[in-house]
Amino acid sequence: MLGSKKSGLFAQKLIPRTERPLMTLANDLLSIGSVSYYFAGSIGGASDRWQTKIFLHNYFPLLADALFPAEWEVRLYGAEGQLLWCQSGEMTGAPATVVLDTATIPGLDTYGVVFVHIKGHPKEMVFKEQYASVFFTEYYVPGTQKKILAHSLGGSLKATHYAYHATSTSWVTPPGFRPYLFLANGCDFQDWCHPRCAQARVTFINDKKQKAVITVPPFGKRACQQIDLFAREPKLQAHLGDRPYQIEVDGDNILPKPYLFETNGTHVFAEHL
Amino acid sequence: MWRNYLASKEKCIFFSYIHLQGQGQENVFYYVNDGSEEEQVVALCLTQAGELPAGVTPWQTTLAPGAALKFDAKAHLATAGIQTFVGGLLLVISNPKNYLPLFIANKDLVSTWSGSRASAQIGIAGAAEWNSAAKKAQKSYYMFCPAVLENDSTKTLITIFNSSTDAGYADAVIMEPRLHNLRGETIVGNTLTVPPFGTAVIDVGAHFGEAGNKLLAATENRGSLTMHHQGHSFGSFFFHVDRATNEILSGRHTQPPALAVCKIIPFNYIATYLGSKLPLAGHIVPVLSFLKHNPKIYRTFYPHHSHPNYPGSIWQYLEQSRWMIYLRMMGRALYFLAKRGFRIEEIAITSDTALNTDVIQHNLWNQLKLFQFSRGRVETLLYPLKSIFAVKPEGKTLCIGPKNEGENLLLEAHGFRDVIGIDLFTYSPKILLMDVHRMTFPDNTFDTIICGWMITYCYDVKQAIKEIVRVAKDGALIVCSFGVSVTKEGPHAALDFIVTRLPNGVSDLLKLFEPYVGHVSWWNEQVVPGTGRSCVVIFQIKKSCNTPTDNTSVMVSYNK
Repeated sequence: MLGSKKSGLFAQKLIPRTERPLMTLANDLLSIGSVSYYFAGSIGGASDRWQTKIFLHNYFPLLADALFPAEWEVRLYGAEGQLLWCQSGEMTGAPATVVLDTATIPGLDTYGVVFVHIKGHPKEMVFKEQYASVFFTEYYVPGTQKKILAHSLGGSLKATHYAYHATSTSWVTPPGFRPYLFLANGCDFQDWCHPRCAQARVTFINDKKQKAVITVPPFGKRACQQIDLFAREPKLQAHLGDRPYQIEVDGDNILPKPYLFETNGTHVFAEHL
Repeated sequence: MWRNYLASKEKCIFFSYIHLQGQGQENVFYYVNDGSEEEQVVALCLTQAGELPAGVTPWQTTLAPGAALKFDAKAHLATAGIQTFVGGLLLVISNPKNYLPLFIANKDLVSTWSGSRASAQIGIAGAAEWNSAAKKAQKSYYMFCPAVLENDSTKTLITIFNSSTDAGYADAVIMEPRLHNLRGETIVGNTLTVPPFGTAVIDVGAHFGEAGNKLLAATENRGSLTMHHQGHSFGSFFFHVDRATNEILSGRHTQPPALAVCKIIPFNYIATYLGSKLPLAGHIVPVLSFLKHNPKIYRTFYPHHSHPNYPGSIWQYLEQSRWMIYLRMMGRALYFLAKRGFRIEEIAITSDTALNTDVIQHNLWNQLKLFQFSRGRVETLLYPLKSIFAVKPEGKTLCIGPKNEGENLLLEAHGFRDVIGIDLFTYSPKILLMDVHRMTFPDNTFDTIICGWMITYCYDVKQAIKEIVRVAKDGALIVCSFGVSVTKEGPHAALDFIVTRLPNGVSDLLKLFEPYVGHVSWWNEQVVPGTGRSCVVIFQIKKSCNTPTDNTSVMVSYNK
């Protein structure tokens, strides 16, 4: 059923439905999606009210070079981690795209975490391993051309529960811009045996190798924070200047790839670390 | 010959896109040397054909450890008289003494595009080996851009970089773009040939012409674009561009879906997910870990110092379980009540403490609350508390108003060794009969004081706080929670005297603790629809200028 331009790596992950049915059933059940942030309100204290378009693309036909049906599920969580909205649907085997818009969803928080899973469902084949999902988001201000394109962050849960530690280099806060850091708790599902709270230390290393540390106190599972960095640490602005700097984020159970949002009121720079 | 810069064996490369197509547009690239050795950096502005433009020289610099570079493509190209340019940027970092692929994957090149109306930014990781002879045959490339938009004001550009870390790389590749609308209807575009070190720029509207416009018009001018090629790796970006000014509105690098689809998820991942789908299954996770490994390995995986909210051992896990706490609490309650002839001691009520009568009535006799243990509420205090670096579970802990032993037992199960409670009534040796307004403990006794939903029940809040400060050690952590009603109507109207006491929530409470408020570690005010706010704060008591803190310079105020 796969076409001649199929991905070899992808084809290796598919086996006939009749082979090892229990394992494949479990893998299908255990496959998880991935996450990103959504905005549905004023971000960074500016008057702009951001909204988010979430693009769910059925990329399985691309990998299989054949028709490949899929199901999708989207969950939107509030800033405190509460589930605010959930929707699911099906995609035909064509490379179709579903676009969801937070502007049409009532009751969302100003920002939060969006969870997406795109599950491939070929008729005669099943996946023999668990897999995550890829999706894109477009943050935009209605009525303007302001927008930020972003992609998903990978798996929503840390596999090993080790402390999250990541270094990201070459960031810059141009003069007049104010940086906001979005952090979320990566502990996504489980009530038991996982920390209900996450905490992080964010270290800013300037081009003189001097460090400034901001400690982010504990926050609940799936909860999301918008941290006004200059308000939290008034000396940070002088510490960074307008030169490139490095950011280190470490902590327990932090969602991979925090999001840095910088704005001067009219222009925006935003990117995952 | 600029390719000589790729001759060094130990190097990494970054590639990006230069877009200078109008007045006022800026294209700046930032890079930091995060290593411990000097790095030699060369920035090459390459045409779409993969060559240096006439008159443009490589831009070179040396970066000391920690130093940063800012490469302004517009200024650099202007030196050769070039005002408008579309092509690729190849950044080559040579650093023979500090070469490790792991470090290179952590390096970022941040590209920014600014115009009069918008700015965009993309950060990409470095590559130590890219389209080398050994690697290119193993790769399959699948690119998809799900956010194609073609309308009167905005168009979509796709850029593809055919780069390599090999100086002799000479592979031109042919790609076949396909445009889909949101329904998945597809048309195939003309094939693209991307020369070595070249940059293909696809203007989606122009490339697919009228057929593409018609296809996208069927689904609100939106769609997706996919491409496939076997044997090479590509970096690719997609941009939304303003039609009038040609400036970039936003951009993103594409994601190869194969990476996600073929991700291998280890055992713990599965167990975690099982626990989410089947709540009871969550209980077997530590048991499986225990059975699978030995306790020593379990502690290696779950070190208590870095994972403060994990059970420290299998026994602690069992001790913390809901039913174990409840059974212990009920068993001990029956034992001590029987021992006292089923008599509960109450504090003596005087005329100035008449409010205590209401509190006892509310907490002890209404609906037999004596045996209710709101474990979830206590955990909303306990888990943040355990995560704070300054917490001292080995020190003395005071629980004010626990009603029964549940709070004490839960704290002990979580490693707090010396826990004592005080309340206006008691049946237990773990709970002393004491009024918070008149505590008999010596000064500076406790390292942690937990005031869970009690502070607003005090008939003299200022006096209670004065006593709490007195018995707290310098640097002690105070954990306080209470509810605030926004209205005198509704289900809590009968308790107005309690729930409207601190109308501004945590800030009101901290004012009462002044000038003894040190670092605030946790501040959470959550709106409960129709009822009011639930407030939790954890802070340090600061009795002198030498009070130890957890070295945090941040005042926390969020979730308001």
